[in-house]
Amino acid sequence: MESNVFSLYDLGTLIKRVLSLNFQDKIWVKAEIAGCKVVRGIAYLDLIEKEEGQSDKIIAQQSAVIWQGTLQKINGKLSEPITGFLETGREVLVLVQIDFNVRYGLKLVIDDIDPAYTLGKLFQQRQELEKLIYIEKLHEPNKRIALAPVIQKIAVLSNDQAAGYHDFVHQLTENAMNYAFSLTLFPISLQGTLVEETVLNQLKEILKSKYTFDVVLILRGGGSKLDLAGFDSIHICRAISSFPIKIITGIGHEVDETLSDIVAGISLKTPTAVAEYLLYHNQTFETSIQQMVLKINDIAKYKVQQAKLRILRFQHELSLRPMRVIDKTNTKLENIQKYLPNLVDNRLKKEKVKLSYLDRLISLVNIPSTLKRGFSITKILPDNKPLNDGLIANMEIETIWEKGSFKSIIINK
Amino acid sequence: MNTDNISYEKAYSELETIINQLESDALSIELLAEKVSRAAYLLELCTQKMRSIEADIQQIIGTS
Repeated sequence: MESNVFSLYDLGTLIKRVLSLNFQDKIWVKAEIAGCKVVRGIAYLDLIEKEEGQSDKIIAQQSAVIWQGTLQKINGKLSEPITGFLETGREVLVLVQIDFNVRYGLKLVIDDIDPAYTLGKLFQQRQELEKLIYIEKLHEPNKRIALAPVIQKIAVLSNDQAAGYHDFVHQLTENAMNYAFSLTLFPISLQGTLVEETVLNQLKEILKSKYTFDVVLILRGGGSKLDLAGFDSIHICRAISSFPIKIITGIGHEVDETLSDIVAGISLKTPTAVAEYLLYHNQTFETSIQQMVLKINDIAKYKVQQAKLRILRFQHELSLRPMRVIDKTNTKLENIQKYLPNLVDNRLKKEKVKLSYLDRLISLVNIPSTLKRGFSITKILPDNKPLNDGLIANMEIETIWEKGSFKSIIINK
Repeated sequence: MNTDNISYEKAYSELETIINQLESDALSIELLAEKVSRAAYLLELCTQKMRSIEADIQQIIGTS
């Protein structure tokens, strides 16, 4: 029995020996970071592995440490501070030396990190989420929201500490056109796990605000791909997509595109580019107003010119037309004046001719003068009918001549 | 008929009627002198009116 009993120290020493024999070389281990804190230049990490699939069940867990010297070495090859890199939830590939301390137990001493692995993992996750965005059509709704013709009330999701935000404010407010803007900053965390939470909360705050904002901006200056990874959250994407106000993103540098950029109403490269866009947008409106004013001026001038010409034409007509009418009328009246005496004269002449004709006619048919010329008048008795009524035998007739009259009886006819 | 207030159109129309009657011999000889006198009067009236209108127009155009 006694021979089978180890002291704790002996056991520890045994384990340490077994481990040393089996893990002489450093090995690459892939794991997820469950937590990380840096104390006095030494990073303490919790590494975990979860069950395959959607489950969050932890199936393995180890403590790890990065000593100060190693931390400085790794820092040199990362594009961002290692504290940012070692963010909870990241998948890392680390080169570890298994260390067993008889008193403190097992610890993984990290000697190196392969950032390409983490980036690759993130890229893979991002690719999957990007597919999801297009499946859920999250990239469309916010783009359909129209931008107000003039943008003045602006909600900014960014951080007062960020250089990108200050560049933006400077660019926007120091504009040559003297456009005024009302900026309200809704502070968010610009990297790490808090990005998602703060963005979602502040978007809700914007909707609760008493102001009606013309536009919502999400601004963040340049950073490494890992820095910007917070904006690849599918929850942020869904919130942006369904947001009732137009959202403009200016996240990172020229080459960066986060998933938030894909679903935003408008995605611009940098915060400064967003400021330029807003100024240009408002200037476009002002220019259109100026052009309208010019156009109205031109049209008004043209109309006045036209009216002047018409009036001139009328004036000309007015001086000519009445005179033409008057001349014509005067001519008519003159003609009547000339014509009237002739007409009267003609009429009188005609009457005179008629009278002299009648006079002659009357003198021709005068009975006494006819009888004097040796003619006689015969009438049928007793009614003094004219002869043309017809004569018959035994008819009594009376004949009147110059010297008197006599009666006769027709014997034969 | 109040001839002082007769319009140019009425005067001219009456004048035309008289001329037509003269041309067509429809006018009674009895009324000839009276009608010719009326025609002369109307003619003078029309001429006066035209002169007055002409002067008015010239003044209007001249001062506009």
